[in-house]
Amino acid sequence: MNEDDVNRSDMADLESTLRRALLPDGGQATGGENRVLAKVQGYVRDNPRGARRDWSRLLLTIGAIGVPAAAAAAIAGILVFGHATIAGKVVQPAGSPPPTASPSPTVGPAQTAIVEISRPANGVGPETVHWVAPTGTELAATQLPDNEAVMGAGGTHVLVYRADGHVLDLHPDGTADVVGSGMPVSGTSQISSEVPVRVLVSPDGTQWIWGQITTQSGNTVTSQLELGGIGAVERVVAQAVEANHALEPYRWALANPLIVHDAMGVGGYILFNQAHGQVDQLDLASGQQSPIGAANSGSADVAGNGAKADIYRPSPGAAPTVEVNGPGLRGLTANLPATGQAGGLMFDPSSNHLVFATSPANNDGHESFTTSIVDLNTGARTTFGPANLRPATWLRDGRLVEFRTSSDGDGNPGTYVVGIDGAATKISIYSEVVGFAEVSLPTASCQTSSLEVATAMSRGAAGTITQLFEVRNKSQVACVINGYFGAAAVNGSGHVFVDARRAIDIPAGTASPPHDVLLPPNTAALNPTKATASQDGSGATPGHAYFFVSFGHGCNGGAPTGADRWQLIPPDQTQPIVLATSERVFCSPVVTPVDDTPTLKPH
Amino acid sequence: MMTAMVETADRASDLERSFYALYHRDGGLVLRYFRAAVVDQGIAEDLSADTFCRAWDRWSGFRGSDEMARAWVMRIARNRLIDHARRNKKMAFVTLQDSPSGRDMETATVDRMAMREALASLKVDERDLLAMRVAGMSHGEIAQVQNRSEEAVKKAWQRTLLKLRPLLEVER
Repeated sequence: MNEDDVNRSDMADLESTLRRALLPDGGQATGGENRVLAKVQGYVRDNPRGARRDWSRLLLTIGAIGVPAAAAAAIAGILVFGHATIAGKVVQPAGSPPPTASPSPTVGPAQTAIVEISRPANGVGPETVHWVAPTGTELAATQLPDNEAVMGAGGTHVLVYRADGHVLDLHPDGTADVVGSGMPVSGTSQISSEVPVRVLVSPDGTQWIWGQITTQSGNTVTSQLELGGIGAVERVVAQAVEANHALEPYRWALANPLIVHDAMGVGGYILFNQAHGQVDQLDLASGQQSPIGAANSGSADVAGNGAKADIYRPSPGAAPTVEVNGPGLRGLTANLPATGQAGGLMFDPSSNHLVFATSPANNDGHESFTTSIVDLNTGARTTFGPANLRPATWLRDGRLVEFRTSSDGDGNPGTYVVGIDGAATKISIYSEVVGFAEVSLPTASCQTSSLEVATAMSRGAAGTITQLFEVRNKSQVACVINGYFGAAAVNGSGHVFVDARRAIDIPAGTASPPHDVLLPPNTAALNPTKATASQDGSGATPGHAYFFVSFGHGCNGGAPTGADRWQLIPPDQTQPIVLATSERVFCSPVVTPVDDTPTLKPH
Repeated sequence: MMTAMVETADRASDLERSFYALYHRDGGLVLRYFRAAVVDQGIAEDLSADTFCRAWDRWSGFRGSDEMARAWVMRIARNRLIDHARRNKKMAFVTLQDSPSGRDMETATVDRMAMREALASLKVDERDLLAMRVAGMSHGEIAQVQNRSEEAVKKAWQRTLLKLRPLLEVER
């Protein structure tokens, strides 16, 4: 067949067939056009001059397809127009010109956050994801739509499954990127916050592995493990045909995951991440499976240095034993209580410690747990941390995250961070730990109540006095400041005599244009005199901000105002800071932007 | 000062009016294009919105006729599709809805699967061409967007149809 075989009539028919197949409604999806228009109108409204956007961030909004309209609108608001919202709050003193710069969030340093889930009281409904610092500060939280559920966390990623089989990378601001697809599609769009398969996320958060039964005939089960990745096409990494067993991912703390040939149909009262069959380490590159521990182990792990541990019963009905083999102490074993359950076996990141937990498994609604730690250098085994906690994950810094559900101990749920010395800090009231991830959050604008200001005369010459103002953050949380202080000369009654004009150039020199100045907490006391004494900025206190106000010395012979203090309103704030001054003449004051140095460039 | 502000407002208003006129004329075309090219309505809508937001960012600098505006916005759309394909590597091409022909479900399903497979085998520029045609663009309009001759577009389209013909014969 060649091109001549396709005559004009044929072409028209073929095109028409294609059109019917691809646009079965004839392309008349007017609802879609209206939805698109609404988005475009929102963008035009908020970017009247066609502002440049960070397009990769816009795609986060696109990633939120399928979220309820209200949630999507909220996400879009936070994401695309979040900065505009902050800028809109700027309030300046009467008479002042508009600000020449708007505060913009500064991305703070990356910090570790424990990622947790909470659910509605009845346990049914959408998940809320929480990012909680090891200190207990909740850094961010976002509620997922009904058709999404968290898969896991690692690296800088929190990965979320969507019922249509897509994988999303969720960000602390509630936005999400679609980073993958090919996961099994949930049977219904309302999945009640559950992933339909067991899935684990790699420690760096860039890959995920899940198990699937492909065929089942009588007792013969064919199953496979599939590996997905950010920007990668999913692939099968292991397959098995076994009697009544199917491949499942088991634990993923190192480069290669642990998998289990899991017995099917085993259920009941299970307190730990339990294996019901041989646990293997799967080499993702070669597909090779290496057994970890006994074939009937219920819990197993591999350390970074290659040591292996498992909990198994030497014979049916015998008390379980925990055994450790490999580098360091070899053949280390310990007997565990004959009844109940044991699990939560995890090497720490240094390969020097191993934890596991035991429980009598009373199933009485007040389950008790004991966590034990084994020093792999000495072989000493001791009880670790508070009672009635279950191990969740080791942090990279060698602290263990544990949790307590409302059915454990005194029924007071929460997540704890336990140091290697056993000292514990309760960090949240949640009890579903997903993992941990590194997050970089925008630093908030400095509130007036967080700031402290002091002033000293910088220089006085040629009829002009220049005053230096030093600013510090007295709160416990870093904040960012950007722009001009509203500076006004007032009297004790608050009467404003004159507002300072804003300018980069003042008689004493040229300041830097407005920019973000990060003010960390816990800095030294204010000392503007020291800052003014140095001409090169060496007298500056690290972490402090500075700005200048210059004003006429003699008001050109005019009468001085009755002002005896400065009223200073930080950028983006409404509440003033009032600063008494011995100066009584405020003529034509000019204020410079906040900077991180107490120096001006010469004209 | 007041005059200048009014002039600025008028210019802004005119800019919006002309931009929305563009949307009302070509918004449906862009959406059809993406619907024909990607897997679901939601993604198509987001890519369409993305296209017009980008167009708005540059609209104040656009100079040209209505015809040129359509080609211009379709070029933005095309780039979005290519970016989307690159980002998703394996671009799911189409989920076909049930045929209204009344044929039994099994046959229809087999046809859909076969067509999906065939369409997935097309290269990105062939998919782009197909989506433009299905969306209703003439060869001449496509030529303008793709910056090649109308004749070249016609030939490319014939080749694409030839590739799909065996399947489309079954569909018909």
